[in-house]
Amino acid sequence: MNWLQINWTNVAPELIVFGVATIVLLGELFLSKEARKLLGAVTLAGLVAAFVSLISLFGVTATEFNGMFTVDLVATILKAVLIATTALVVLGVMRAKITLGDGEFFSLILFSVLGTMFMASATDLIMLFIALELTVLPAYILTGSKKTARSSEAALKYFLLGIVASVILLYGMTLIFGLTGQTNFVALRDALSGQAVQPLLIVSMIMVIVGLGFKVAAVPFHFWAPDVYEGSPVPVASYLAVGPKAGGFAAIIHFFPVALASAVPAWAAIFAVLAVLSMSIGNLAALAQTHVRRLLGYSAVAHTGYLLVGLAVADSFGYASLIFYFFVYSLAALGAFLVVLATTERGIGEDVTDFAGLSKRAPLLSVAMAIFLFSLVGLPPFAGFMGKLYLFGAAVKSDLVWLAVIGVLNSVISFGYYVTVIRQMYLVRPVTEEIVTVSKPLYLSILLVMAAVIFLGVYPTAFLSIINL
Amino acid sequence: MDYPILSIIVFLPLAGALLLQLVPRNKANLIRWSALLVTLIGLVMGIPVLTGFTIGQSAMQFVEKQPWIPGIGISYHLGLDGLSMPLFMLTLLLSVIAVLASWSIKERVREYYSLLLLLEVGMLGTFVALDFILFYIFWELVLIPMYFIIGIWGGENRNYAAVKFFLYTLAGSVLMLVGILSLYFTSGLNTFDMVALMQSGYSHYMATFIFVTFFLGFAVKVPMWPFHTWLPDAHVQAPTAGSVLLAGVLLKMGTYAFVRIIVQILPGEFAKFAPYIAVLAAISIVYGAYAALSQSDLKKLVAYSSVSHMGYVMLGITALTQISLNGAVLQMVNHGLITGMLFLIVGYVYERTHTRDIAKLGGLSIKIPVLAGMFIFAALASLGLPGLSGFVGEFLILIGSYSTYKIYAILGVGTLALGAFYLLRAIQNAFQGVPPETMESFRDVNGREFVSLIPLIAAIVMIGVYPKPILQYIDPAVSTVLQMIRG
Repeated sequence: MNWLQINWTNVAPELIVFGVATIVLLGELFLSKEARKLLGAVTLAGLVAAFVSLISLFGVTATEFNGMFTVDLVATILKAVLIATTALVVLGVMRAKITLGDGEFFSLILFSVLGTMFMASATDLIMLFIALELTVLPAYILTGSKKTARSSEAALKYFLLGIVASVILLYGMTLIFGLTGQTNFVALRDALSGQAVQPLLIVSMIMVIVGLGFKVAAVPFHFWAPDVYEGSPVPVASYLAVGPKAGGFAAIIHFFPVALASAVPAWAAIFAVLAVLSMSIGNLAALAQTHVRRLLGYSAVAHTGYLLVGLAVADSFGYASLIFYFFVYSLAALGAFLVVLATTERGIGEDVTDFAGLSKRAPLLSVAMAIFLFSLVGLPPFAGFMGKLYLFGAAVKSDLVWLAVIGVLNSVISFGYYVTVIRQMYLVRPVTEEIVTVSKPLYLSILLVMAAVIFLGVYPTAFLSIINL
Repeated sequence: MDYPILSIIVFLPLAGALLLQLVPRNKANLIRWSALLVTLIGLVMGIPVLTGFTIGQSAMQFVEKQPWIPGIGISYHLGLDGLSMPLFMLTLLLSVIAVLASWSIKERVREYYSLLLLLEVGMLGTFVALDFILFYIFWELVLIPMYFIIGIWGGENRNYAAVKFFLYTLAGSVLMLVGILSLYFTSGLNTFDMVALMQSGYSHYMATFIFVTFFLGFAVKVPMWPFHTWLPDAHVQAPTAGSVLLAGVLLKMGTYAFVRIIVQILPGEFAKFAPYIAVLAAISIVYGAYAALSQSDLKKLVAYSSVSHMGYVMLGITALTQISLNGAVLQMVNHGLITGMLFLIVGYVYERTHTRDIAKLGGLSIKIPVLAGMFIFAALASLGLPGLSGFVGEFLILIGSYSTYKIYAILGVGTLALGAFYLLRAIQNAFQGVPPETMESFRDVNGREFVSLIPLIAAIVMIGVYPKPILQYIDPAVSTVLQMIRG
């Protein structure tokens, strides 16, 4: 490989994140205790810098590293969404109690983000697999960082299931390689085009779907999600709610439509089935939950189902709708986790009933939480509505009206459990009248997310015009 | 009109709700007066709309149109015609009255009035929105404030009633969303604009599916039997102002949407299914009346009578004659005024007696003669006494639908007698006779309550004696609708 032929600006965001991750990790080792407190700010600055360098890549389409790494609109937008939401997480947890050292925590998050960024740009099977492992390995460590039984159990479960999924994914990839002799997505497409779909290709495709389905927590590969969301430390959970999922969907959007273009009906049908299962089972299971984060964990599974609708549609309108919905979903889910973080920081429990009368103890926090939950249901005028409008619109456009009907009915079911939190906050009297205070960065982060959720609900064109919708 | 008057009126309460957040939480009176001021300004601003409206013009008036989400043809499109105008005005009036009726709310006053103002935004917007997505947003916007109003300030069973109300309406409306999307993608017009879709003469094999989704969405809201079960719970548990607005405005959103959307955009499907909807309307009329007959709770009685009265409105719509449609639109307004007034007085009575059980009441005419007299007035209007507005509306509906549905019209006339029976019996048992000895003495109507009731009485008498001023708004719009359906 000739290093001079590489246009380094195309990988600048990744380089920045990598650099900052290294600096933060080393900072933890060598800086004084006082100085280490600034590592969160350094992380934030690094993410902002990466975001700025991403903006310059809008509209750029290029491949680097012999076709392993592609910069295009989808990849750039997914990275921008990922970095923006991660920055909000970092801002929110800056003053939170973190069980690891600050530097360890933030560098692990940054490495995971780096993996996800590579996933969004990967156009080669090997690259994809390595990026995926880079995404999840820090996540395993972060999940177990609390060192309680719950946290360890969640981490172990996450790790074991994750490894199995990775192995299945890898085996599926080797089968595809065996069929075609290629690893590059475009080369795969060319090798497969014109041929009848072989049974072995279907088998390998299913294996890839299982592997990636695990990463995005689609039913029936979702069992880790509620445990991890519940068991991991709250700051970690708020990152896990957005980060790794973005990577999974980025990989799916890049791999299936390109490499398996010859087998669209097959995988679209599988994704449609997974969508229905994830939506329905996620929502129904969430109805029975009393632990807020577990509830949000099942809600995340259900939202994976909604997102998969965009893949079942299998056209560019569907993918664009998926990206838009992913953005509005991550905002609302992130916001909800940040509110949970704010309350747990003040020693409030995480049972739904612990939210009793929160509207009196923390009015703004409660309004924010209610808005996030209404947005997750998909009620106007919040962003979640616009997201669902596009997503289900894409389904209707492609004559998948039945899928849209199942989707909207699931939204109705989902109200059944989101409302339990809202009910506790507003309809139930508080046990104590003590005011809940929130640290300034966390407050700022929550307000920013809330503003975004309202803004995108009222004026979605701001984002849609970027993704050509 | 060179300024966007409809937008100003619709979003004025939103601005009011936001400004209310600046008033300190504990200054309850200041909050009440501010909310009253906001709704009054809205009502006053309705006057130029009323006078500036060109009667007899079939096109939309006061139109505002801006591209909003141009990528998929969503626009910010508002306008009024003879169908929406009376309901728009009704909403402005009832909002003022709802604020007045809420003076007795002592807890979380600021939140309450903020939600009430937000509710007004949704209600007003629904009647003026001419873009499907905008319409849907306003339609759904009503749910959140109403959920909290019932859930926080409601009666004993408020949580159940609030969630039930929300789930029923949400289930209906999300299906409607799929219908809207189907309409959008099959019409080939690439627009969500209602006016454009009305004029396009939409026909496609998906029309039946779209019709069904719209029907479910609206039928829950009206509500028609068998989708009505949320209504008694919500109406009874809601605080007085909530019941007034639920019965007065929210139910009208359903019937209005029937005329505006189903009849005008899917006329073919509507003509095909009208006979079946008429059956449901007839069942609603009779069922509502019989259910009201067996209620011992005064508020529940009024709630079930609503099901019956909305059945008349639906019958008038499905009959699709000039007279019956005129009657239906007029009856929407009348029902808002009359049932609003009934709920208002039931609420005022409850604040005094702390019971709504007809068996435990009695002799209220002696204890609170003015309030009791007003209840009797409203009940007479509700049972269709000639000279009051309820008579005009129901008379037009029944006369107009006789040519199409003879049996249902006759059934409707018969049920009027049933209405007279349960209302008069309630008057007799709760308001007349000798008061129970245990009953202490109450103060009669106070100034604020009086002020809240007078406009309703005036409107009921005015429409009852001389309905022409309001019918002249409605009639040309009805002609347009009928032209559309007959091609």
